[in-house]
Amino acid sequence: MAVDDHAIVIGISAYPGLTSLEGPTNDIALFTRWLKKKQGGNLPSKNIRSCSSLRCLLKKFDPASWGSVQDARPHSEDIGKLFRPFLEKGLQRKKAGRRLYIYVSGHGFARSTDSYKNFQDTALYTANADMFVGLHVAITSYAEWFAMTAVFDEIVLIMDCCRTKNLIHRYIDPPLPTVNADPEKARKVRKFYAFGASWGQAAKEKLFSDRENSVYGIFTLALLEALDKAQPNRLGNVNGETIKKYIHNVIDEIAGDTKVSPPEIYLGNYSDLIWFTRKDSSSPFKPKVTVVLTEQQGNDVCIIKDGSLNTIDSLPFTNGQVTVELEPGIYKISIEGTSREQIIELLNDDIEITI
Amino acid sequence: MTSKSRSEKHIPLSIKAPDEGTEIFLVNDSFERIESGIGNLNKNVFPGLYKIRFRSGTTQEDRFLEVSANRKKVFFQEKKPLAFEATTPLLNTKNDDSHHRRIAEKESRRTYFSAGKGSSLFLFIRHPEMGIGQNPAEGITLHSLEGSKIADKENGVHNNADGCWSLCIELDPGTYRLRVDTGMLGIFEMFVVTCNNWQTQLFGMTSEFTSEQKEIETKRLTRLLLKTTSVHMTKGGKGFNPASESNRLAELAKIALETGRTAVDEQLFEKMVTINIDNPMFGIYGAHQLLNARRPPYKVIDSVAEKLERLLGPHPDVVSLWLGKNRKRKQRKAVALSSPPMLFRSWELLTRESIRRNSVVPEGSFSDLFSNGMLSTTPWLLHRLTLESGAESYSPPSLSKTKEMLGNLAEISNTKKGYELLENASQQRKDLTQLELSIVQTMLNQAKQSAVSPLSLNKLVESMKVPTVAVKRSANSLLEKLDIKQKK
Repeated sequence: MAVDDHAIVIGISAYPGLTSLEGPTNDIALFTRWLKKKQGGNLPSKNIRSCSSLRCLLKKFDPASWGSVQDARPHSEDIGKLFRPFLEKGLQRKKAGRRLYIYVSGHGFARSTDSYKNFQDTALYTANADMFVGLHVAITSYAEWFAMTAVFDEIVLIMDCCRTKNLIHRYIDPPLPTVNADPEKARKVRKFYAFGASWGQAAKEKLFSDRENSVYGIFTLALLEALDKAQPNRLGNVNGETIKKYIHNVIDEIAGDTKVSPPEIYLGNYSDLIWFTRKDSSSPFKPKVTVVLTEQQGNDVCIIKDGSLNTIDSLPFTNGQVTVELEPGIYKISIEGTSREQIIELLNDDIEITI
Repeated sequence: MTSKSRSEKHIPLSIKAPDEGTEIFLVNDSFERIESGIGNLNKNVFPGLYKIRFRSGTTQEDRFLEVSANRKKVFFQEKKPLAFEATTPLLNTKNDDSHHRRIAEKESRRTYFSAGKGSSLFLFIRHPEMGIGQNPAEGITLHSLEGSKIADKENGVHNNADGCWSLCIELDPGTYRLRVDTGMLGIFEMFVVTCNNWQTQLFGMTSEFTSEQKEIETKRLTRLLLKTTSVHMTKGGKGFNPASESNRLAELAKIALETGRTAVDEQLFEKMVTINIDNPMFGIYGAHQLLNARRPPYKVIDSVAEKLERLLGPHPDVVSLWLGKNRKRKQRKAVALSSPPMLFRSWELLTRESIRRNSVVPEGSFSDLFSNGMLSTTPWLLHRLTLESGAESYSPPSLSKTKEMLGNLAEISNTKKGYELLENASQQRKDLTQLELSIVQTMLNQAKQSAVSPLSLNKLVESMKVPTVAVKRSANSLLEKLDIKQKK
């Protein structure tokens, strides 16, 4: 078990002062499941500190009892408590663990600025925010504080929320303690910061009929699919770069008719972190390609070339079709002796093409 | 014959996008981005299969390409323009509607009435979808900078069948306020600049505004969404051209500015602005993108700014281009801006400059007095009309007095009683202006961090994005409202 790994999971669905969301509750359930899964984060339950519209740590909330927007929870102090033990470690210049996951789902916004220095700054609206007073928690400030103090060796920050530039609300940093950090240690903290929307854009949630008719954040589903299916390298490691590429390649497909802006994922300036190592990396998942002929003429043969244009397979058609398992990549499929050919992009789902 | 090394098998690949504003990304078979470009891309590649991703605005399309070993060079051209989402009714865009195009083209060429002389303003507002019977210009009024009303929806033409509204007015060159009343959410306005012998064209789309609160019934209003509007410019009398390449590039440059991307190639940009000046807004949007780069190409920006100044006169968004971080440039242009710019980027440059040079925003000017309702948004600088607007025309305190006041506030917020006083003030939101509230919240945060040194005026200006003169005035009025002026 990854006993040195910790997670802070926040999902706010109920916003009496804004439009409530349906996705965050489901998103945090899915991500928490991945955190606990042996082939996933493999975290012990006690290392996961959660906060939702119904409960924050041990404190229970009842949205029905909220008389006004101001009563709504969690508010910034509730959320602040999730981070507190690690802040204390940082102040004492102690390590709190190997990796910290910070997962956030809800309404959010980005710091409105033209400065490249803080273009990542993203905040989560707390439940007591309304259209006039945008109470929020600047989550990225916490992540950066932990990175600066090197309380953890690795910071994984996931924010499935909007990063629009709000008209009225000013971005305010949380009151984080001032410390004399060791810049060399801070430099070596590995990061994976993923935002569900690019700066200035909105993240989207969607009803998925194939997932028990439930609403999920589109980015969260793309992330979880990446964690589930992304190919490990020769050592069996799935690293940040792989997850990043997978998400970029698959998010439009998951979004379907819903238009999503490309997510933004930063891997930090130090070496890429290894999300996890697949134990079964010797037999990685391979999607299937089925090639169907529009018309079969005798003994047609399907030629498959890889991205370097090397022929990797040559298969006869049976009943006008042929199926082959391939690793994700770009391939050229052609029919021997004809000009019929097609270049395909194979991600992680089975596809069928007609030539 | 000796065998060739892999590096010798490189094949020159050239890719051309359908227009100069489209981004190109070249991806190899391992899904790694190996090169990117804007308008054009050149790269020596190994023989193999590649994915080319074209991106216009927020729309992207992929193409696949085979680079065979027997080719000496490969050229790939995407001819079909990408249909990106645009507010302006341009040809080959996602919201392209031939009726809207025709109406905008025709109506921009006739003057409805004159309220001045020398410049022209064309407004074109439409619903994103047909079938909404309401006038898209509902709640819209046009005002002079001083506030007097010039026009409203009744002055324009509402085309009910096509869901659009237009208005074309002759005006004196200057800055105007386009106001939208969104009911419960408030009254918002953006600034529109017109220039001598030029027509400024503003295109907008409506959106549904929802106010949803527990105790209040949900209300829905359809109003112009200011933050997504597009502004173009054309020579007076020429009117709007939906097929213009300059307009398409300007629209893409505006979207890039809105999304924080850089979608102009600096060398090509300079050349295009110098040769093709059909739409100066392309130059303004593009120069502001370049100014935001890690190492801004000041030579290109200066050359474009000089060209635009000659064409347009003292346009605030052009003048602000001189306010970059480079000291030499600042010495060359000691500018002052009493009327606000259209772009938020220009406003940020202005407020930053005010730290160094107070006079960049003249005291008592509109830019000074309206700061309280300024809204942090891109690409446009928006203003929310507040009840206290115009009530703050008294002189701001001196710099030393302001420092003293901020010191007092910091001292007070570090005591239990003082902290509670500020916290109560923060909760009684209606009693404080937006700027005063921001100062209180920043002070509270400072106190929570147990910061010893008082908050500096510069830091407040940086975080609040308003000129120093407005921060000084707000610090003074805050102390008066808290009734702690005498406590030092």
